[in-house]
Amino acid sequence: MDGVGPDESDDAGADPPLTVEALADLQAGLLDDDTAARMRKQVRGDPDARQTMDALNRVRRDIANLGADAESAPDVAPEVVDGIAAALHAEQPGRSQRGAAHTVRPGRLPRPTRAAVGLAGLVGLAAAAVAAWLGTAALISPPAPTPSRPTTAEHITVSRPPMTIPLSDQQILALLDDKPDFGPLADPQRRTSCLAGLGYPADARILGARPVQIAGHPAVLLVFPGDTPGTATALAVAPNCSSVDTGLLADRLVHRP
Amino acid sequence: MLAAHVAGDPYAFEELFYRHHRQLHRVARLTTRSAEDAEDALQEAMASAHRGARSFRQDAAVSSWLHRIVVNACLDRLRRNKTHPTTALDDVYPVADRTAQVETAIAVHRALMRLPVEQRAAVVAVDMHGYSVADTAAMLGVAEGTVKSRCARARARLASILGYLETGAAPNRPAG
Repeated sequence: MDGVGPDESDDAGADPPLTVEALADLQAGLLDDDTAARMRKQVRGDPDARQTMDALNRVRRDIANLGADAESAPDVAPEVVDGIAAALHAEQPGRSQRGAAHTVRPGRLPRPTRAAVGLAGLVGLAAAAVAAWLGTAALISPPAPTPSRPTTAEHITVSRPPMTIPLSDQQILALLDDKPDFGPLADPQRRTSCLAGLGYPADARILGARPVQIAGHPAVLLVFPGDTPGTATALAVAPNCSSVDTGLLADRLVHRP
Repeated sequence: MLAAHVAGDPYAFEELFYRHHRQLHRVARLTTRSAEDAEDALQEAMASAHRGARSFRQDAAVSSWLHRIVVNACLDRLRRNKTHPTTALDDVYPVADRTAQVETAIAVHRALMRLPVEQRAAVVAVDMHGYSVADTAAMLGVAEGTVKSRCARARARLASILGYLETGAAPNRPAG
């Protein structure tokens, strides 16, 4: 065979040599149609060339499989992961003071604290259904800025005194026996918007509710089922709580008897 | 969980990152010049994903969506920093309970890291993430033929490194 490469002009009747590089060029779509057709015909009649094509195809499959294989992914230095997580925290407005509470602990990968996860109630078994609903809502609702809301009293420390729910656990649990008093959130549409802002679906079960005052600020206390059996999550939100900004003032995880 | 993040759950996105971080870091390392670049690109990508979570379409898996954002960030970084030097592989692999599949994956990863980053990025974008040649070329700021050529060179080299050619060497010229 002559030394004409696959991407040069061919003399009439000259077949390109079936080198690994030429076959890789064929596979990658680098050859003109005529050259490619001639080469494919050659490959069909050449067992070694077919094996080389198989090898090249195996490479492509292996690369694709690598992308899908989580188990083989190398470990990442904890400080790298922590750094990125800390940066994600810092991105959220009004939350940077909270970020330090559960991020960088050198040498281990941190996780959100139990109290913090308790607020969401979405990172749990019930989350899937809620998240699916929220996913749909996120597509059809107008985009809303991420609300600026601290989750625990200790984290709201920038320029205000700490906020706490002015009810004992027993008083909060007593609300479960009373008819909910939503106060400023009596309007179902407003309440739905508030629930969306908190991450709950419109038909989320509210175990109890009443207006409260927190450090002189009017608020509405909403009590939801907690993320684990036997618990309840109490959230004190602003009277104008909406999907845009819940104005969350304080929260507490309460254990039910 | 992404929907929870969109709704304002401050921990859902962080949890997503923790869940996928090893794979995301791997793809970042495969498509950047150095470990430092990989970390920077991954951080940029996650911040971008975090901000853009509202645009996430439910018809794609979250994992694929995150991978795509990371790959985009890395390829963009390559396009912008064409002259920066490339540094060598330095990865830590899980040691315990390596199955044959994991061994193969590790071998492929190591082989990829022996390629020049331009070839590596092209073949990772096209073969690992299914990007079209046209999209890959646009992101890298090169011609489509260049992407095809890089992929061809990469695959031929990988076939050689991985020993896949040992029984099927082409008749006229040695592989590699």
